[in-house]
Amino acid sequence: MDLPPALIQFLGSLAAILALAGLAYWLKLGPEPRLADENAARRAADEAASGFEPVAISIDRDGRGALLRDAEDRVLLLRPHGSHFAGRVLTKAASARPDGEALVIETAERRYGGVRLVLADPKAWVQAIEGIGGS
Amino acid sequence: MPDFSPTELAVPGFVALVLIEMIWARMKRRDAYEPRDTLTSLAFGLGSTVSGLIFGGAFFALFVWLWQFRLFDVPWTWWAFAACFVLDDLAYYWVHRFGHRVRWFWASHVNHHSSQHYNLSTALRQTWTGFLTLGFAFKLPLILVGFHPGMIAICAGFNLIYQFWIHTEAIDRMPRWFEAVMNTPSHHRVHHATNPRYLDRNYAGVFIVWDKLFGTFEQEVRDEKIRYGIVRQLGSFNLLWAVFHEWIGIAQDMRRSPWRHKLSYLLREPGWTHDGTRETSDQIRARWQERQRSTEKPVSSENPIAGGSKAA
Repeated sequence: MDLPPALIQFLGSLAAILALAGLAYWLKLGPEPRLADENAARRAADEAASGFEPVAISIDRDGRGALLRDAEDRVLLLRPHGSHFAGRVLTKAASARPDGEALVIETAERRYGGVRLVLADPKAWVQAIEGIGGS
Repeated sequence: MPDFSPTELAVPGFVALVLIEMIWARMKRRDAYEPRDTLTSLAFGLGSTVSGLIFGGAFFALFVWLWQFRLFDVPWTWWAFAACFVLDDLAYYWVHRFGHRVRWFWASHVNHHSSQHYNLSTALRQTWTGFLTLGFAFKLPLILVGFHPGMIAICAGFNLIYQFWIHTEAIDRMPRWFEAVMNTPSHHRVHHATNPRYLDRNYAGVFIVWDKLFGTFEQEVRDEKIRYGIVRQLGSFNLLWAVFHEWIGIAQDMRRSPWRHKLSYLLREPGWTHDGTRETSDQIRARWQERQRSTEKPVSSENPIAGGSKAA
């Protein structure tokens, strides 16, 4: 069977990119980030939403994300995305529910998805999220 | 299309340099690469090649047809190539600037910026939907002057090859004379940054002088960590979402907005909204500058005693 040259080139390129991504995995590149303390959470929050100044911060037990609230009662969610954090200022479509010792936050944004964080004060954050857009 | 394609010939070099940079990352900066991000970026590159094969020929045919209306006959000489390369880079600057300042164009170009990483694989993160914009129109003056479309395509290929190596954090600064004239890793890191001071700066392809000439140059600051990507990070490695998310966003905004504002969602800058619910890069920068001013306010402005003192 003779394959068209363009198809051969495409399949060769596809094999090469899978090999390169596989190599990145094999080399253990891209470690998952952790929030070590409140300063790290503040920095990540400012990176996610420039000028976001939290007055309340709660970091996941393992540092795999955080919830932050500013003086205007905006709530910012941080979660890992690859080896960085991706943040969202939650809208009134967001929801939060306890799940065992964790809090599950749904952003109502399908591609960003939900996040499961273990926080010290989950009830307060449920209230904060339920209060978004309510005032 | 011309038989000679410099970018196709450069592909083995691209792969080799990505390999070398990955080894550098393993030794020095393991967070410089992330496997899923790399896979997404390279899949962008492959898809853009397919898109180029499908639609590039049509644009080339249009250029060849328009070439009959040229003002001069530019010969295939070394000096013509040199002039073509410089003028094509000038055209690139303006295509690129429009790519950031008009949301219709940005919907395509955002693909190149949507990685939170800045490495050589990011360079290959090229759009699939460039044919939906009017970027080609910026090359028309070169055609009408008389540069052959084949010559322009070759110059554009070399331009793209040049831009590959500047997508890296492995190189700090080049010699001063080089930084003054050429686009470099340092200048282009600024371009990929979302730090407010860096937004919509350094559009250059090969020669950074265009930014200095047209007032869009920003120097990389040593003590400020760069954050790469887009203002609202995707938070997803879904390839199709990464390709089409801004086009979908435009369609949603146009559907929801009042009639008199619909076209603005296509033609105005990214981040613009009729109700002020999002921010443009200019607004983000202005707010940041305001914060900087308020934190850097000299003591003398609040304390008349301090205001009267002089430096020792």
